[in-house]
Amino acid sequence: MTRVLIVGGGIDAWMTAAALASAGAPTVMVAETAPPAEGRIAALPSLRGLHARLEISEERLARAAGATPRLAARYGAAVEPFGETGASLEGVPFHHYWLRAGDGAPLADWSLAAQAAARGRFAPASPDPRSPLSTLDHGLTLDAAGYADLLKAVALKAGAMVVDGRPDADLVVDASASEEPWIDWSAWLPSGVKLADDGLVSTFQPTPLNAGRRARAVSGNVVAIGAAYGAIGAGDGGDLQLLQSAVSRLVALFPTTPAAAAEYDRLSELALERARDMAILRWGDLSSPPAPLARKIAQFESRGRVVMYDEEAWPEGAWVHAMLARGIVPRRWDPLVERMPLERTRGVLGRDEGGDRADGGGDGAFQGA
Amino acid sequence: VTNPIRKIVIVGGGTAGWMAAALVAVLPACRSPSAGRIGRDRHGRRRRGHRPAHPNFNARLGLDEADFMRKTQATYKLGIEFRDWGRKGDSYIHPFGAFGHPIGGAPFHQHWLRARSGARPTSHRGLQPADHGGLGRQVRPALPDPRALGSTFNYAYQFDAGLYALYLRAYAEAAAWSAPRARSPTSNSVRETASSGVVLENGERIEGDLFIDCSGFRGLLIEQRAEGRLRRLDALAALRPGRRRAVRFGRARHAPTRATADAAGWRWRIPLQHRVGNGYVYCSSHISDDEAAPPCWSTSWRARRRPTRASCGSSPAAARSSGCKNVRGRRPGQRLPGAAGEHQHPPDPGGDHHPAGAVPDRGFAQADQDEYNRVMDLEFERIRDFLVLHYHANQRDRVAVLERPPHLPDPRQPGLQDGPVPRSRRGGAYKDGFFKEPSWLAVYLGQNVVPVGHDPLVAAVDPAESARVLAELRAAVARTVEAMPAHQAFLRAFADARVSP
Repeated sequence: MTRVLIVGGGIDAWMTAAALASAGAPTVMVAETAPPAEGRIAALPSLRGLHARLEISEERLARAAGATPRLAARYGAAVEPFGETGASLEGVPFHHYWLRAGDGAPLADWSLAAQAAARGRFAPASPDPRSPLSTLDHGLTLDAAGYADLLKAVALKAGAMVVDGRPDADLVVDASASEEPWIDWSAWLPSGVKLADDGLVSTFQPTPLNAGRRARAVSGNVVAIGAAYGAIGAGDGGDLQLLQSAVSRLVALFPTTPAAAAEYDRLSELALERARDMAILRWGDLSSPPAPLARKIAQFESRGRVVMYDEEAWPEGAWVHAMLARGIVPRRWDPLVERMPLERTRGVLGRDEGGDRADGGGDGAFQGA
Repeated sequence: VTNPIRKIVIVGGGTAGWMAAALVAVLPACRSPSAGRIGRDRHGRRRRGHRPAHPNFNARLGLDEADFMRKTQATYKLGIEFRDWGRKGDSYIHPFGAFGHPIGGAPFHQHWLRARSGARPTSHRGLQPADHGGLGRQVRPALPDPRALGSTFNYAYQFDAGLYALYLRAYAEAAAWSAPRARSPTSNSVRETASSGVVLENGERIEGDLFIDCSGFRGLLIEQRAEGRLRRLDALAALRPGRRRAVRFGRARHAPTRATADAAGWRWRIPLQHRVGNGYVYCSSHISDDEAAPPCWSTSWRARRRPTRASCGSSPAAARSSGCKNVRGRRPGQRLPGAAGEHQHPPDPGGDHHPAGAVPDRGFAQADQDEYNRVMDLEFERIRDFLVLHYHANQRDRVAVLERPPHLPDPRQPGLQDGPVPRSRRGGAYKDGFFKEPSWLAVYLGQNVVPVGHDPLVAAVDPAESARVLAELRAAVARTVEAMPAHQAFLRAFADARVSP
């Protein structure tokens, strides 16, 4: 791995630079072009993995980027919590038991995160698997400009440098929003979403979007990343999740050979299209969904099964909540849940309710947030 | 569930059939007497085989491990030794489990790759218990603590497939299932099949809602559907299973499970408690059936048994001879292929692969069928790719079956192919598919196909630090193995087949 030039700015460029420089790339140059991002943005719990690798603490995030925690997101009338909802029993996901024995209460009633958020309470997850607090997981809301600056500081400290012009490089990362031949997805995604309320339960509002992706992520020695590769308008944390996975992929594959480039392309396409499917499910047009999403919807509607493909950005639980939020309710549950007597299932659901337990102390970085 | 499946019929009375029956037996729908029926197929005969079963499968059924092992002459397996595959004289072990834990964000083996390219190259041998003579020993790595060494490795069983079928039959019959009683061995075989049921040789007609075809390659039920016909997996189609033979206790008794390559195929040997099984898988275009019997086998034995395609088993070894699969798992005819019959490993008894998870009710919606078939296709094709890897990832010249024939597809796994030498680090990084990254890694490294360079994430960790972790793990593995009882001693104390409890 030798010389890398990143063209662009904001979070896309500096997250890439920070990850590459921290991973040991000897020469990481950034030619800043794009204006810095503005406003507040939403991040998923999984972003904490990247922060751990870059050794960015939540205290520092709170200081530099005004980070506050979020436990759930609201789409329409439904709340989709992070973390676990209920627990799988005998290898069958919880929502099948809920479908069979639920008394009409929303699934989120069995989520500690949703209940805590509804009551304005917060605690970080417990590492002790026996604690109910271990089922919690939180995302963040961040100042985009502050976050980009923080990533820039991390990148510069790790050895990245700002350059003028376009010096020669072995690999060029295009992190600018560019006008390239575009596969148009606007029929499925006529608009995107951006953060509206940054409380414990995030809410979103529509935002204009030119949805689609470039035909290829890698072209010659140029790799398109972030918004330069594709746009699905996922201001609910999906965009940052995609960026994070693209950066990890870039570091792992470093696509300078044809085979590595083809592999990078293949994985990027899968990851983006699976996240796109979630975006369509949440706020897009479902009249004629893409085939993989159509299969997902049909299977969920038919029997509550979540079809998971390779390179999924969202976990199975998020799909369950998103389907229900969009009014897609399974007609049947998995017959395996009938191994448990109905009365016992009702008992388990009664005990499983997390609402009363959501009073852990709000210590840590976000106290008073 | 409205419109539930009321009656399930399984055709095929081998291991596959009774594994499926045992799994289905835990369903409430099958609790009524005679809800399920097992029909043995026309050619059904009990075959002696040696198969690995994931302990999870048995645990799911609630089987007592010691009891199961005693009654099926079972032994443990921590890995498989492959001899002469990369080059003549090579030997490597494909262990069950991962090679260590990630260090500082980069996979463990990437650190090994860096250490290997350093001033004092190191070997990946010794990072798994299987490498320390651990194949002759036994430890049960049931520790849930992810930091514990025990959580990095796993084990399987080898057992007598016929005895296992009997064992599961007793289990399933106790739960719900019945098998047609027979006066003669053939009278309960399947004579014909129709859309609503099967007719046995004795004239009895058995009907049902859901049919599970465990009749092996013949696919008595599934073959009747155009979309259920056998599709050759070209890469492996030239291979055929050869003879099998069991030998009584001998000096080789304690030797590990082994697959040895030769000019026209490869031999397997699998030690059980009471005997060691042997077999040969060969390429029929390179060697005649008569030649295919290894010289050590007696003439009389050779004359007695003919090779048969149908005897493809499902050990990881024998699975390589399974050049075909049922392309459609289940079709509009409401039939499902045998769980183990077409599958080269025991299916995960959880939702996805559970017959009932795939078939929620008698509606047999096309979408449900398509989804089952999609997942089965992925599983098979990815297992095929992994098997093909053994044949083309090697440095042997002019060795018939191990050359990569022109028609053989690349096992194009995520990022593993980069010209002749893979650079990438992500084999087996998929959701559906039995063999994950550690397995791909074991074969690549074991057959001398070593990535050029390493993951740049490794650079974030000081070489001395990663060398220390490598050395520590190696020492810990050696210590752990030293503390294990010998395999034979463990079996004798825990599950001796000669002692009835």
